Amino acid sequence: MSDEQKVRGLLALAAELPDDVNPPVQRLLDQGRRIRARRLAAYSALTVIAVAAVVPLLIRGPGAANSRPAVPLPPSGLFPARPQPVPRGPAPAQLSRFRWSDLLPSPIGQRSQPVLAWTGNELIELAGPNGPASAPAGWNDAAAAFSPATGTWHPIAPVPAAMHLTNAFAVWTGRRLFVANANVPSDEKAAVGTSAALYDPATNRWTQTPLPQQLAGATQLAATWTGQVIVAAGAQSGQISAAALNPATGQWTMLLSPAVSARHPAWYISIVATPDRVIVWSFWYRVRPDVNYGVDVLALGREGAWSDATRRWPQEQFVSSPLYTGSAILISPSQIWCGLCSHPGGAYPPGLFADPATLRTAAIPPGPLGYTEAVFAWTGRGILATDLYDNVGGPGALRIRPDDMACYDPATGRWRALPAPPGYPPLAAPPIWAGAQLLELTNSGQLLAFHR
Amino acid sequence: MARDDEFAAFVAARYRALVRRGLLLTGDSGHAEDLTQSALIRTYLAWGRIRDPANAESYARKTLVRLAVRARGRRWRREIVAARVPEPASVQVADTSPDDLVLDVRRALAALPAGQRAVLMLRYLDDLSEAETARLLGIPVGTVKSRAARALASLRQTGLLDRAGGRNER
Repeated sequence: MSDEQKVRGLLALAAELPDDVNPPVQRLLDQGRRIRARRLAAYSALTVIAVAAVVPLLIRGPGAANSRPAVPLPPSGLFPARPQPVPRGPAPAQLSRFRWSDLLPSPIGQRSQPVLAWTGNELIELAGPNGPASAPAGWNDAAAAFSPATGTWHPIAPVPAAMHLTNAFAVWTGRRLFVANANVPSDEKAAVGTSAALYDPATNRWTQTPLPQQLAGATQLAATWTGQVIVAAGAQSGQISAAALNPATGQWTMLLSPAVSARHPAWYISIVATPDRVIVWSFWYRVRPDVNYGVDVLALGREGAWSDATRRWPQEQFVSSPLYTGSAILISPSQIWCGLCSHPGGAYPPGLFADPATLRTAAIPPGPLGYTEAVFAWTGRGILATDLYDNVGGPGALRIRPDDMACYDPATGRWRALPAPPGYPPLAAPPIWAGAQLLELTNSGQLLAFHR
Repeated sequence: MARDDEFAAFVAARYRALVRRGLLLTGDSGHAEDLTQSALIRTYLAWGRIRDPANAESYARKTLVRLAVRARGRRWRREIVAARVPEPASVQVADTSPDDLVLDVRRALAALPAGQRAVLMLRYLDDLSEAETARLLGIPVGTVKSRAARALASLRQTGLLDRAGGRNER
């Protein structure tokens, strides 16, 4: 007997049924009739809608029906006529002569992972949800500002409570601070919430701005300031939606959505604006038909259309906080992690400079911080790198600890080690470059400055 | 109503045969009945195009297979990715009495991927050609061949094919 005949016998045997399996004829008929009636009703409604849509086109003539739909753009356009100037800071060589000082502690006090933003004059701190257990009600919405000119903190209007700050992020527009939730992806539906908020330091007022429906349903959001509008992109169910907000009017314009392949479902997106394009990195991750991951790069042009700019973008590089330096895109060292493909700590791919026009990348050589996941700040003329998490031991004197710092001069291609803040205090948030100095906020609320 | 009478007669005559196929596809009689009923509802809705009971049987079978493969896919999508993929459960079959063979075969079938089970059923129970199987499942003929070969190899590994031969010779 052949294998095939044996399989036939086995299948027939395995398909034996007990005697009590009987056809539920009446139930199937009832269910079938109900569905059929519903479908007929739906077809009728669709017919009415279709007729209502087509008749006006017929009246206007075939030209109207054939006209190409306009690409949605905000009335002001996406980009300013002239690129935004990027301030020049101290040369990296000068940074090695900087020193650390304690400034006044934040009135918000003990805090972990607050939102920090530099407005050009002040450091703004938004408390967020990670305070001590004893924090009084409403304290999560507390906000304060530090002025380096006076060396003092002052409380500012609290964040609207309806925002429920959760892993929030901030984008400074030059006049207002845009704040929204969901900087990192969440499995919870609509982690972004239904609104973002704009803070105007001149009036000390917050304005809530309801998010467009497509973004409010997202599980992760990223945003950037183009100099004209805030472009926000959200990931939901593997797809990406994008919208532009004019902070002066609070008006959102839904933009075209980039084409995302079903085989490359977006999981985490990051975004940066260059003078004439918004670049979005989509870290995609799938488990079917196979487990795979990678990075797609999408570019939004002046005319509001998206193009695929992936080309030879490094597929192992996780892009988490891209910066535009005025001439290049700067990517901090980071790695793809998805549970199946993580590197050991202290062995991250290096940082990158990318040409804003071609997105060709040039790796930044490892320096005193080795292959740690250092976070980069751009000082205007160089990179100020801080190791936030990695604690790397090694042979001899090699040891890299959280808080260790170094600076890189792209003009010379050289790194210099910098002194870490005294006592290596745990930091509450990534350091902020504040025009002429680096500001660091510790978990205990102490503000430190690395300055001339 | 003629349509309903024809459909009722068809269900009464072919329900058990369809559940048998559902059982092979899912390995569970409860799921098999659910799938069969879903396939029959779709058949009812398409009855105006089908008419001939012979066509109805073919339509219901195809729908059943497609629903089974799709349902399996949906369940997978809900799974959470782990850092390590667990080892597949061993399906070694013990040398048990012939009456246990039914359970062993169902267990071995349940251990196969849904696509392989569907190919086995269509090729060896429904006697469809490779081309017909490929068309029905929406996959290339080469995939049908490779799935059938892998499924047979898995069954061979469990020792079931030897036992099937032994039982028939008894």
